[in-house]
Amino acid sequence: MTAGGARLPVGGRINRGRPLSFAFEGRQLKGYEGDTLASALLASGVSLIGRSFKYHRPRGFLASGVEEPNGLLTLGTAGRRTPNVSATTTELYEGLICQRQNGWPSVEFDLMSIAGRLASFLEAGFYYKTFMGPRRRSWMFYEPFIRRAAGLGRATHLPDPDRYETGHAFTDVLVIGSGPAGLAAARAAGRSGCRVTLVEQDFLLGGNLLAAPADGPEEALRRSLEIDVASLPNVEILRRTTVVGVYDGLTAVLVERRDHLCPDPDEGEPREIVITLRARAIVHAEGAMERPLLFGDNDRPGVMLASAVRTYLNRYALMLGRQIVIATNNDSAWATAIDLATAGARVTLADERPTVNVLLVEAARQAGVDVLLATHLLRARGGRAVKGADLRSDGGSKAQRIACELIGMSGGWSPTVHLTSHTGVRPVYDAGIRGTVPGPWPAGVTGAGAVAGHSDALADGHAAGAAAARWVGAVGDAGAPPPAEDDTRAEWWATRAQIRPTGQGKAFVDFQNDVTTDDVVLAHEEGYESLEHLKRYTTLGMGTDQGKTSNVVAAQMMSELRGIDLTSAGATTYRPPYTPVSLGALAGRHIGTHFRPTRRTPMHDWHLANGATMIEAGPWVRPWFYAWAGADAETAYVAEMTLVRTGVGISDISSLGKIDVRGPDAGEFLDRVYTNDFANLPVGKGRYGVMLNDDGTVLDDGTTARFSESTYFMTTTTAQAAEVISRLEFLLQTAWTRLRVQVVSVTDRWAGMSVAGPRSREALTLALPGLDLSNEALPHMGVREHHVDGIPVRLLRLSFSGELAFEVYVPADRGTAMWERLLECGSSLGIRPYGLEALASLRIEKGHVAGLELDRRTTLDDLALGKLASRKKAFVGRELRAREELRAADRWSLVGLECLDPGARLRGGAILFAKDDPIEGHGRGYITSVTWSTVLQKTIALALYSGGLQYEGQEILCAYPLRNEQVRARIVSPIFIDPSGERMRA
Amino acid sequence: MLESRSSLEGYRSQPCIQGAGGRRAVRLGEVADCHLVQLGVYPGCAARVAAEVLPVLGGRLPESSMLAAATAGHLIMRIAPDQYWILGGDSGFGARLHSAISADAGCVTSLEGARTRLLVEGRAARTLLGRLVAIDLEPTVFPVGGFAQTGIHHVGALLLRAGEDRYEILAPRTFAASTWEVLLDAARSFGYEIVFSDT
Repeated sequence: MTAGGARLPVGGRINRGRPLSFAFEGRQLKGYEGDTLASALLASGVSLIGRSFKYHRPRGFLASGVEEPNGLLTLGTAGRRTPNVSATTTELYEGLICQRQNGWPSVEFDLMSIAGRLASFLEAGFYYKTFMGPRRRSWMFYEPFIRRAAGLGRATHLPDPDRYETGHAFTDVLVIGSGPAGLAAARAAGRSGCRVTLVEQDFLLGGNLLAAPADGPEEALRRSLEIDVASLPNVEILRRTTVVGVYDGLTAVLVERRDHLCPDPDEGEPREIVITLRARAIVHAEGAMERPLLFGDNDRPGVMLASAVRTYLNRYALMLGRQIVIATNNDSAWATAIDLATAGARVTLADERPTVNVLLVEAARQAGVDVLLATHLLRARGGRAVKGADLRSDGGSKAQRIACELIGMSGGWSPTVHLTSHTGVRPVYDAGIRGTVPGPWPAGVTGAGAVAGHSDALADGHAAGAAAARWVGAVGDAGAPPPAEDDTRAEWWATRAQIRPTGQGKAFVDFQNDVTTDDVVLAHEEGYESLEHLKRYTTLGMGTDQGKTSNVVAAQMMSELRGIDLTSAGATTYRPPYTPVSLGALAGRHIGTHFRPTRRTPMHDWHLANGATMIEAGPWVRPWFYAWAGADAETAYVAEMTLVRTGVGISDISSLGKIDVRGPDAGEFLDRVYTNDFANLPVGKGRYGVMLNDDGTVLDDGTTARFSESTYFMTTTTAQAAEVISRLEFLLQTAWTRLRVQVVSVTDRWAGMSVAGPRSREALTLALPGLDLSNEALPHMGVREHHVDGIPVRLLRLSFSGELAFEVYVPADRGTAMWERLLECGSSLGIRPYGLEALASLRIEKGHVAGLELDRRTTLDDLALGKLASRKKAFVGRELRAREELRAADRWSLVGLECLDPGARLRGGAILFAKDDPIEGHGRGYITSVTWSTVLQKTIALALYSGGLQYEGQEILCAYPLRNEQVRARIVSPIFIDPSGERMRA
Repeated sequence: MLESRSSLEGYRSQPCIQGAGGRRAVRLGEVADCHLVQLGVYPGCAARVAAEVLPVLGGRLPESSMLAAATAGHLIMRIAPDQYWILGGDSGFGARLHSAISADAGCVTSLEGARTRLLVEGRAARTLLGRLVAIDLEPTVFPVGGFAQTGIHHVGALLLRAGEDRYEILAPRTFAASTWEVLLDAARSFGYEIVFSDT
């Protein structure tokens, strides 16, 4: 697996003055600043980088960039363990820890490589054919074993200690990619005066220019362009940042990697930042990716893309072999051969084409390259490393074997149409380059250079940047384009179809998923001809590399097999993300306490300081029960209920929705949204109301009080508060635009507390001396606004519990003070706080419906509220509530249930059956709310039951299949206590 | 006496935090006074209401829904075509404004204390807010006096640029503590000081 070091003594774009050490499977290795993990490993002699997905074949690096299918490592340890990280795009940093994956017991000695010998049984789709029997659920049995044998790295279950941030950014022109086209585009747009953001996934700018010698003219050009762009203050350059998705509205999602800074989470430093960038124009300059060639055993460690060989040589000063074969069907690999030969390697170049530009041939031969035209590569020789190459010339009958340590291959280039596809720009076939290019650009988007299938990157990029600047309204002078390159790249594109190997050795189309040419042929023979079917049948194009080196090659193969051209064969439309995104980055700040925002009542801190156990109720955090009443909810809520039924308690109801409805037409407006009348509500009175959805089902209920001729104070349920205010605004803005009404949410303006129990009047009188709270002055459903110490206090005499009760509203900032005053003044009466569990249980005893019954499916009649529907006026939902289906006699309607089995309990969600029904299916209804009744000393429930109270008195069965329970209950009135209302009118 | 308490009462004694390199690049805090009223205008009454409130406001109602208008002691923000938020003054301002408006032309709703004014100030304030809000804070786009109704970690809030490096977030009071905690978390890497205007 390791050979001697490959680092040349001079050259490259690495900083030899800054050595870096890193750990590879427990061994300390060294690299330099400017290395990737891949180049540092290769420099240290590590060429066997992993085992393949299915056959466990030994694999080395194929590429030097984002398209790498093989070089996936696991980085970090413990909570920082990150599997499947591409070593070719990981910038080396001090202290990096990595290991190989997918080998057992090790990558070096992998017993699972026996899979390679069973290859004939593991063809495409083998698991669909093999593991579906003999029984129906057999797949469930096999799947864990298959996944263990195949697969990639394993993630950790430990918490990730690192921080991940999200952010937003804005720009006029987004330029994606910093190759020559991208740099020229950013330079032109920047000079035009608009805001430009240049995004580069690498830590160096230059794209493919970085593959050229570090002392040559291309490097001079790269540096010149970088200086030009960096000098423009209106151009922001984002390095180490990948555009992982492009979305509608010219929105791009970027991931910035900061591992090289060794961010310290304890200092708040993020490891990665996800940026949502909104642009006014986008210039795509992602360039192109080189295609592999198809030949036997083209996956052996030491077989690389020719561009990668050149990059490792010129950027990282790595000579990965002394005897090298370069196989190509285009001009681009000739530069690799020439650079290698110039650096001292013995190079044989086999070009499938019979004729090549004579200047190129001359240059290669002058550099010492052994040139073979009309010759193609049949097979790589070797096991864990390349040892030779079998070549055959056109018309030749015998293969020529050349000993070598490295094979560079080039099957042409494919424009990187991944990001352009994200917004629906379908790739289209361009016969001139034997590949796909983006289809017609949408407004504000363009592409330059290789991504568009163009060869004149500098001029093209300049024109695209200038055009984008004009599109966003910039009027500055973009200046002249950068000086053009000498050579034309027209012949870089593939000029010939790939030759499908027929000799020995597997020829891989998709290296990451172990899909061979034979698999593609099999898919064709079995009818999976469409690219989408081919992908799903063979898994081609899946995985972390998303088929960057395989899709176009496979499409070409399939088009040949079908005898159609590539235009008809179609093209893969790529989806986000372009490269894998860590789960941490996706989660961002949404973890732990920041998973979602929480809403706290004005008395929140008091509750915490005074023994409340809190519970989440939607976004709200509310007191569930208090320690004074018991150690757990089961015991505490019963004590709290008893307090309210026998004395006086106080509960925080600030979470109720509160809406200020104001204006000369406020009464008319409320008449339209509520089913009952509100225009005739006297000032100083409140009224219970129900509003419907358009379809006639119940939307919400609540009490609305009238404080003046034109001012109403509406309360809604906690759950529906946001929906109701949204609904009211919608109606005013669209349906009834002439009504003189304003609605304002004042939920945050008022703290609310309910003082409930037979002694609540006494408690309030002690806290608010001087106020007449008698039945005459403040009868049931009466409302008053007073001022206490100059502070407005609203009193609403209404009851959710069924007891004598008052709701007290004060400005939110005075909520705690009023709460404390009520407790202090009422202490002689034994007043104590009660929580949400008791609040909800008290209302069940009284038979008041709440969110569990208002489930958007129930109607007024289902809830026995039909009498609230006015016959004299129109209101939202009136017509559709009269639908036949909503009037059916067997609708699930509100009933009460009493448990008949001593010691048993009713459960929320239990399915209801008539006594003699078979226990199966959806039954005749279900239990919505359950509680222990302190008054009746038994378990009671509210439920929805087919036919409702027409079955009052009947015994039914409450089935709870999850626990295999069946409990007997009797249908009774849902109002369990005080049906005449004497208590609350006391 | 019913004492007024801040929604951030429990956060007053929090420590200041140093970011990388020992810096404290932002100041976070609460602006104590949040005298806020909402002025609503009924259909067809805009000109009438504008004329009626002029003497009380000491300035015109703004037409822009992106730039606040400053008058003596007040900041007026047009938050909807027929709705304005007026920030500042005293607790009696709402009543004075109410009495200036014809009952059939418009109305005033007090939002006193319904919002918590969170302060974000300092040289890293813009960068910090860029981590939280999807608003272009470039000065030419969002100048001093600019405001926007936006979302901060899923909470609807109004962001106001009160100075070159000074921003205020008017967060719903019941979400203020949650928003504050998110602010502190996002500011961790910048380092921050905590400033309450009445301390």
